[in-house]
Amino acid sequence: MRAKLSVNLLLRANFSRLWRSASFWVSVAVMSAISVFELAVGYQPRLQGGAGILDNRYMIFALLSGVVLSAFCSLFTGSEYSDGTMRNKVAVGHSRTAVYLSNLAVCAAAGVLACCGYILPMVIVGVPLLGPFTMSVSSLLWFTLCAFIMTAAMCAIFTMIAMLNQNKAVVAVICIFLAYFLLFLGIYLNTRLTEQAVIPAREYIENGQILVREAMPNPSYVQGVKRTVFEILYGLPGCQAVQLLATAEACPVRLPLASLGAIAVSTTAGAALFRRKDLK
Amino acid sequence: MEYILETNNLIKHYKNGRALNGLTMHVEKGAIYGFVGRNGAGKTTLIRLVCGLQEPTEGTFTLYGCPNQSKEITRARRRMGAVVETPSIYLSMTAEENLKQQYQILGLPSYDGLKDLLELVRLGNTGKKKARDFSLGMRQRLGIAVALAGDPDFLILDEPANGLDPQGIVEIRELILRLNRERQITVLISSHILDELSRLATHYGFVDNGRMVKEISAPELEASCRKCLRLTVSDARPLTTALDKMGLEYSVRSDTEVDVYDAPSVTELTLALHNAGCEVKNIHEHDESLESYYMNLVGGGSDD
Repeated sequence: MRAKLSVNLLLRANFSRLWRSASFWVSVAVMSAISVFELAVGYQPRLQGGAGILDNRYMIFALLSGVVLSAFCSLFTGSEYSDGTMRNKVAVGHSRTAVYLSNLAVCAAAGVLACCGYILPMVIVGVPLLGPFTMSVSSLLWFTLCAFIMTAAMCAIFTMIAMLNQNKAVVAVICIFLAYFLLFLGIYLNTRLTEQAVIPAREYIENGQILVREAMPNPSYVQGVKRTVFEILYGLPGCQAVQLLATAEACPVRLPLASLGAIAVSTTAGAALFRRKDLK
Repeated sequence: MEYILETNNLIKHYKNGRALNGLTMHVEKGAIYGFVGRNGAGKTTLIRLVCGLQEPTEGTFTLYGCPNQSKEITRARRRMGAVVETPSIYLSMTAEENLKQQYQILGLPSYDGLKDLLELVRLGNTGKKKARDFSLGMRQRLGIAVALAGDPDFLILDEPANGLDPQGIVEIRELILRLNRERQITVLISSHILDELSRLATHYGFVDNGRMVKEISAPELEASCRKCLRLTVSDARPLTTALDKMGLEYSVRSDTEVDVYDAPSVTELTLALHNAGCEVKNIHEHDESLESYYMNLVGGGSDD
């Protein structure tokens, strides 16, 4: 009796592989180790009588997830090609779309779980150690949800790259480079977009005289079409991590919407190209 | 005649040229079909098309009578197992874990039969050893076990003896023969190790430059490769009369050439022909192996 093939079978098989995957547990371990490191660094000022603010340290996982998951997704999906097991799934009659979606789902789930590897020590150890969060629970949950969606979007992009290229090493290099590129692009865009439009007037003393410098337009201020382009790029997953940190408590709805858009576009394009791809 | 696989004028283009150039073949149910051709002849490309890894540029094929354009082809593929190029196994998993993965992919309700399958391919005692630590032969056998997980009626093996030591080659051969005889599995084997193939195949398909040059059954091939005496005479008619009188098996190649299969007394035969006024121009022993048959068929050009 042959069971009807469905994406559920592939999900079950992929999750069972995930629990055995060394790259997954290394990703979780790296995130947890960084979380513990951040707690240790945050605890220093508290020992000296200062305040150890948990909020900023908590939010760092949004910055890290892209870089860590770029390696994980390329290795996890890439091994399907390098071990040749992608062929088993297609040859027994699973549809290419089902193969693509199951890989995406497992990578996204792994991404969220790796983030939890950071979050759990932060909450379980961080709260007793550094004191409670200063932002409200609802803001915290909203930020976390936005970061999870962005992580899933990053995984969707990495999965697309990994599913369309059969060379695992090349995929790993492209994904890791892309993760860093988006992160540094986000930092650059944040700097440029937070420039003030006008340099305010200020008084200063020169040769004993009080002089006043008039308010003047800031030449570094980005405006017009360039600003629109910068703002769009700032919403990209990866770049968005910087924006999430900058806006933390009041993360605008457009950020998770942009991430969902990135998931939809990359998955539609990736699955369509994968359907036509000659597998070897 | 019931065919498991039939291809009709299959063409496959890649960026750098044509891999298949109108290939037509017929794999009979219950056969061990030896798919013979030099490197780059199109063997692996055909297997990729049948497995759904690639789509043909032109032409069609049917699997269990189901056309490749039909949606039902995926259902037909469930009755098939394949090892394409290298064994498709997770190197970071044990033999048992690899089979469990495949059972899950196939949606099999339990792991019953998994141990038997491992025993069948003689990997029952590999325990916690990861596939990356297996020998090439063990990996190949595990790849076959994975292909057999869905209890297929049709097994496709792409160069199964490649890179194996003599012991590994014998093990794979015995396994294939067992599967064919005991489980009635039809097997398509691509290979260019002709000597090995000649010990297995019941049918042959000779492919060159993406085209089928000849399809032939093993008995037919054996007949054309049989050891014989090839006699060239002035007239074949007195010769056939003499051979009939002597009760010898023969085949007439032309008006002047006859192959005699049994071992005749050459003296007796030449005397009989002399008396009949037939001149014997040439006698030589003819012994064509599969290799020479193939070389005669496709020519002796170098591999591409």
